[in-house]
Amino acid sequence: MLWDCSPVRIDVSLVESVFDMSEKAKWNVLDILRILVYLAALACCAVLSITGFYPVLIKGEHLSGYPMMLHATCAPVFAACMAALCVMWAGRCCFKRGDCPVVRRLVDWLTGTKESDEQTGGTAQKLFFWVLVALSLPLILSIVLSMFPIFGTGWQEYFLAMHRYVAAAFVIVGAVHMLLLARMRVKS
Amino acid sequence: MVVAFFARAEGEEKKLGDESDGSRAHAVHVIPLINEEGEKISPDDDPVLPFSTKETCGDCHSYSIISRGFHFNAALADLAPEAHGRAGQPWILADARTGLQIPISYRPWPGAFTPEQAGLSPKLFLKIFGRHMPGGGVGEVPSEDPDEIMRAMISGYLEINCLACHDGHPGHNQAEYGGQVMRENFRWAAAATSSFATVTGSAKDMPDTYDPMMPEAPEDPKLVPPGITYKAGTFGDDGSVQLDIKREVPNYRCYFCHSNMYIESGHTEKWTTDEDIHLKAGLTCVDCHRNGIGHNTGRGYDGESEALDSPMAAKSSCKGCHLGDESSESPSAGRFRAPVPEHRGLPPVHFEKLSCTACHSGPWPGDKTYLTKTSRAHRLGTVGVNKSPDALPHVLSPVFAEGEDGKIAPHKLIWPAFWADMQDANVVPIGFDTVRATVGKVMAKVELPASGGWGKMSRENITAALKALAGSVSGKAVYVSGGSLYSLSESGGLAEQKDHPAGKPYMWPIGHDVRPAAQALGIRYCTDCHATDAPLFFGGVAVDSPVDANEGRVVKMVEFQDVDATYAKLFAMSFVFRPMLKIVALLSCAVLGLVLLLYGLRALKCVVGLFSGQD
Repeated sequence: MLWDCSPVRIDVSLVESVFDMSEKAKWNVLDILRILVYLAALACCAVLSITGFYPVLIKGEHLSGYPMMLHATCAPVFAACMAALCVMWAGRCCFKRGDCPVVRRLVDWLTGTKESDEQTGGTAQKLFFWVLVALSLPLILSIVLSMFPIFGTGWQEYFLAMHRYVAAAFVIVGAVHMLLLARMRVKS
Repeated sequence: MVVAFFARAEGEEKKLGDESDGSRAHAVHVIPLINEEGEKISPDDDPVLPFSTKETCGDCHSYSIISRGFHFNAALADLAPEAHGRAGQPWILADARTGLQIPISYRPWPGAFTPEQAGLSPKLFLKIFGRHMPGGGVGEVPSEDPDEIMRAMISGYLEINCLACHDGHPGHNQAEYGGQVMRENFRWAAAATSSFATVTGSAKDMPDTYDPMMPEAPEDPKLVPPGITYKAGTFGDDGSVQLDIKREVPNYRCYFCHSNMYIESGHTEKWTTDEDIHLKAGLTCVDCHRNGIGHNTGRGYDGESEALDSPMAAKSSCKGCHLGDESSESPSAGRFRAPVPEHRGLPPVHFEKLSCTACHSGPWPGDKTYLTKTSRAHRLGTVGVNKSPDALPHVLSPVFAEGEDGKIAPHKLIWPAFWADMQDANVVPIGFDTVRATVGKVMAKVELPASGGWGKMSRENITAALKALAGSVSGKAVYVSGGSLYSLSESGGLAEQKDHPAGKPYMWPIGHDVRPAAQALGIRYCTDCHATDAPLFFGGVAVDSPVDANEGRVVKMVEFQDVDATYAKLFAMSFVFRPMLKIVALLSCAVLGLVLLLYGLRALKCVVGLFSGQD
C-alpha cells in the first residue's frame, strides 16, 4: 500500500514513482526542476480553481476583491509553469506507433508492413497532456487579450465566458491526467 | 399617467392644450391675459393687475395636473414616498455667523431635514429659496397662521411660473423673480419676469389692511405699493397678447436653476469650461428630461422607471439611449444617434460596480475635491450674488461614493453643520430663529471673512453657545459639524463624538456635465482609477466645518465606498506589476504555441512520410 488511511501521510514511494525517481542514479537538475515546476503548476492550479470557481459557483458573484488579487498573482506563475512543463514534457509525450493498437494496425494495413506488437503504454496520459497544452492557450489568451484595449464589451463577455469554460475543462482534464500519471508510475 | 388618470376621474375634462393633435409645428400663443379673479386684463384696468398663470395658462392646460409635476410636488402630502425618486440636491440653509449649513427638503430624502424641523415656515422658506423655485407647491399652500393668512391677501400666492421654463422671449428675466419673492410680491412675481411687464413696489412694506384690489396710497410716501405696468404695444387690437411660448424648453431656461461651477483653481470662468457633450452634439436638456402634461420630468437615472410612471423613463437614461431598453419589444438603442459604447479593454465587472457617470460625468477628479457652486445653493444668476469661491454653502465634488443602487458614482457633498436638540439618539435641528438669537449673540465676536466663508469657531465658542442653548431645548443641546457631534460633558467641558451618524454628509449624484468618451476615466490606462494615488479611491474629501480644529482635515474617497481601504491600496499596487503579468502570460502563450506547432509539424511529417511510403 502506498497510501495511508490518513490523507496527510503519503508514502514517499508514491512521489518517487510518480516522478520517476526510483533510479536515483539518473537524478539530475532537470529532473528536480521538472518536479518543482510540476508541483508549482499544481499548487497554482489549485489556487486558481478555488479563487476562480468559488465566487462564481458558490456565491454567484463575479470574481473580485482579495480572491481576484490572489487569482491574478498566481495566474502568471501558472502560465510560466505551463510553458516550462510543455517544453520539458513534450519530448516524453510524443506519440509512437505502438501507443494505440488500432492506429498501429491501420498503419500496418496501409503500408503493408508488420511491426512488432510491443506496446509503449501511457497513451491516455500523453493524449491528456497535449489536450492540457492545447487548452492552456485559450485559457491564458482569453484573459490576457481582454486586458488590452482591443476588444469591446461584447468580446469581453465572450472572453470571460470562454475563460470560465476552458478553465473548467482544464481542471477536469488536468485531474484526469494527474490520476493517469500517478497510476502509470505506480504500475511501473 | 396614473396621476393624470385619477385627476381625470374626479371629473375634470381634457383641455385644449392637454393633448397634442399630432402636429409637430410650433403652437402660437396669442391669448388674453387673465388675472387671478378670472377677468381678462386690459391696460386700461384700474388697478392693473398681474396676469395669473393659473388662469391664463390654465385656460387651456390643466393646472391641477401640472401642479403635481416633479418641479412642483415636493410638498404634496399625498405623494407616495417613492415618487420623490432618488435623493437629489436639497435646499441648503447656510449662515456663517451661527455656523449653520443644513440640507433641507420637503422631500423625504435621507439626510435632509424638513423646513419645519429647521424652523422655517413655508413663507420664510419661500423668501429664502423662492428665487430659484418655479412656483406652485409650497407657494400655493395656504398657511394656518392667521397673520400669514392676512399677509397672503396682500402678497397673493406663488403660482406656478410657467414662463420660467417656457418663455422663449430673450427679454425674459428670471433673476427678477427672486427680487419679487423677497419683496413678497408673490402675486406679481411671474409677470415681473416677462418681457412685457414691469413690477414696482413691495407687498412686504404694506400694512395688513392694504387691499391690492382697491389700493390706497400708503401713509408713508417712501413706501411703494406693489403695482404692474404693461409695456405699450403688449396688447393687440382684440386685447390678446402674443407670448413666445416654447413647448420644448430652451437650455438656457434650465440653466437658471441647474448651473454648476467647479472651482478647480481660484475662480473658474465660464469661457474656460465646456458644456455637456450632449448639448454640444445638438441635444437639448428636454430631449432626455421629458414630460407630458403631468410635468413629471424624468431625471434620467438608471432605475427611475421604478419610481416614475412614464413610458420614457427607461429609454431616457444613459443605458436607454446608448444601449437600448432591454425590455423594449422593438430596438431602442441609438436614440438621437447615441453611439453604442465599445468600452475596449474594460472588464464587464466595472458595469456592476460603477455607474456610467463614475467615468463620464462631472469634472475630472483631482487630488482633492473642488468647492462647487450650484445655482440653487449659491443664488447664481441673481442680483448681488457673492462671487467668492469660498461663499457658503460649501458644496464639494466630485465625491466618488456608493449610490442608492450600490454602484460607485460621483456625488456632490455637504457636511451638515447645525445646532440641535438631542433626545436619546434623535438629533433634531433647533429652529433657525432661536439659533440666530442665541448662538448669533455668542458668536458675535467671531471674525467672519469677507469672502462669505466660515469664521473660525473655537471649542470655547461652541461650549459657550451650547450653554446658551441649554435653556431652549427639551433634550440636550448639541452641535453637529464636520461629521462630529459636540456636546457638553458632565464636567461642563466640550465632548466630541467623531463620525456621529447625525454628522454624516449629505450627498447627491452628479449627472452632468457629461464628458466625451475621450475624456472618460480610464481612457489613458487602468491607473486612471487603479493607481495608489488615483482620485477615485484615494482622492481627499475635505472635511468642511467652521470648527477651527477641523481645518485641513480630509478623508479618503474610499471611506464613502463599500470597499476595504487596504484592499483598494493593494489592488492599486498590483497594477505596477500588471504589464509584467501580461508579458509573462504572452511569452508563455508563445512558448506553448511554438511547442504545439513544432510537435504538430512533426506529427504532420510522420503522416506525410507514411503516405509517401517513407516511414
